[in-house]
Amino acid sequence: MRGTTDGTVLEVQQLRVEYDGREVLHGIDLALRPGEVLGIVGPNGSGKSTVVRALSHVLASSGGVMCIMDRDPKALKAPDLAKLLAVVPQSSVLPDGFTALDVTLMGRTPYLRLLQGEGPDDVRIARQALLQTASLQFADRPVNELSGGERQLVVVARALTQQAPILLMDEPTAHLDINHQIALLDLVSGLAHDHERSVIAVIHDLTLASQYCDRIVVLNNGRVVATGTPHEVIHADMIEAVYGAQVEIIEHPVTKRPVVIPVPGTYRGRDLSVPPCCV
Amino acid sequence: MGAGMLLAALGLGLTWGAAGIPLSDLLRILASRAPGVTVEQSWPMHWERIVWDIRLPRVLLASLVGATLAFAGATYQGVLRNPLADPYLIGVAAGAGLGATLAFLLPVQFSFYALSPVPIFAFLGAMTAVTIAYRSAKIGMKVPTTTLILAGVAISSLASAVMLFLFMLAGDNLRTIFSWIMGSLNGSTWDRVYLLVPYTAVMALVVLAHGRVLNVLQLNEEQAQQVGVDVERVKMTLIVAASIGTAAAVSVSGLIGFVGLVVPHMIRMVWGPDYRVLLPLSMLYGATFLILADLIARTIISPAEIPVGVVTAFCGAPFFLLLLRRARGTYL
Repeated sequence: MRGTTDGTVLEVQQLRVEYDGREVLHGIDLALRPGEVLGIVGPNGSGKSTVVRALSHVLASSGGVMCIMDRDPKALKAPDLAKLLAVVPQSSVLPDGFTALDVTLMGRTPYLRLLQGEGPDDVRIARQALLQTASLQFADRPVNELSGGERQLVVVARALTQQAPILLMDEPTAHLDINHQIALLDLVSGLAHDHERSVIAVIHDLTLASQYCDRIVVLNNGRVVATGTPHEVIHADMIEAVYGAQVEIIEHPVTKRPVVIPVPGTYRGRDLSVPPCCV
Repeated sequence: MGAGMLLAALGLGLTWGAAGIPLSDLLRILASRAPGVTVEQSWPMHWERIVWDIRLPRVLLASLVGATLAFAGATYQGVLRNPLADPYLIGVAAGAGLGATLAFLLPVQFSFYALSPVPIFAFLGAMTAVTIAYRSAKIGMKVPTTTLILAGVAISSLASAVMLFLFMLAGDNLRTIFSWIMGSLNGSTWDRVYLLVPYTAVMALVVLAHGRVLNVLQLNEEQAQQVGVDVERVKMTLIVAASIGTAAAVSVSGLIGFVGLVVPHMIRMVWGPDYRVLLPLSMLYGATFLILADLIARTIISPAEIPVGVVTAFCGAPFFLLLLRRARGTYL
């Protein structure tokens, strides 16, 4: 896979993003290496989704340098950026009446001119992507008749159909049952390790992130507070510092990677009980 | 099937009326005008005048206006991703109404390429209103669709208020203004047909080229951007194209309601949401619908006429409700 001179396919330095004049990302540094699955974890509101939206340029950044496959994404037109970077958004509202194949074919948009329809090659690429996500059997069914998990697989197929070297996923497993979680993350990490794609995935579940990511970036309050392999990053002190939660860490019997186990009855943060005035 | 229905509607529109003309004579009158064809004249002379100078321009104008409104309605619904959108939503109607009212009250008369002031002022009013709505909805480089709709509603209210105030000053003109506002194809001429054709053609070409992109836009704007659509540029192109087509249609026919809202929904219920099918079929059925509505408007209390806008709403609304009931649960 083609990479930049310093061996990264995507690099971000001092990325800053503002919403209505309030800064929510205060200088983020990220580097994605070729063939890597990079996880982004952090508490709610730490800026994970904002990073994804800034990278895919649906959100303007207020400062910092971004470099995707040696190009500046701000200088790229929408189709050219979409050829380098495919996004699986957090919640995908899909339009009623379109089939799974229709939606998957929408991933060919950056390669098609205005009047041009999808050709046999495009259909072949889309069907291949549906096959990879185990969704080919409902290719011709309307997406509004599919379950949430099936729809998410179709969205992943659409992202694969873009044939972009970088895959950016915002909580791709949020609405999936455990079987679909494994199917999706196996597929994505397999693609990365075959050096077909490099992947950045926002993952809420720390144990899942630990099993599938080569490296993990921890965000808190719009800053990177830790970066490293799951062994280096996922430990009880970090989780207590960032999340304010007490957990036990054990070793996964198969992968030997950290597994996070919550300890009931140890919540010490803001008082969540009902105040007396409201009872 | 759609083309057959359009042809049947054209035939009905040309044969029916205050003077009934048999289909065989109609075809021979039409054929006699074709180059290189000689047909022995066997019909009263005034039939030829009726067909050629009155009914043909009227039926053609009805089909052009119907096609333009339905097509523009489908485009607005797609760009704004709002099922309630119609060609008049973001200010075209109120702007055109105000422009036309001003023209009726204008103390001076002038003409421009065989056009009276009314269509010119209506067109300018419509484009001004849309431009103001679009520009006031613009935040930085983006035009959020919700803001655009709300800005359109605000501009429409403003223009309507001024228009109502002018009505008070209108006096004897009020009846003329009103019949224009309700929409009428009475007084259709070849000039109006020639005037509308280029606008409809440009709008259709621009929007049809974006058929697949309109499908992608249905994902939502953020996802469309991420799969490679330059969302803001596409939105602006399509809104400008649809507004110009609508403004031109309104300037020659007044405010004919309901076609632009309902025809695209009828197509969607039967043929699904693919804009590459929806757009051309909206044109076909919009044309058919308005020819038939106009036929009713000019024959039902013949020799007098009722405004065609009254017919479109009166016939269209119950039919649409029926379709909605039948499609309940599978549509929207």
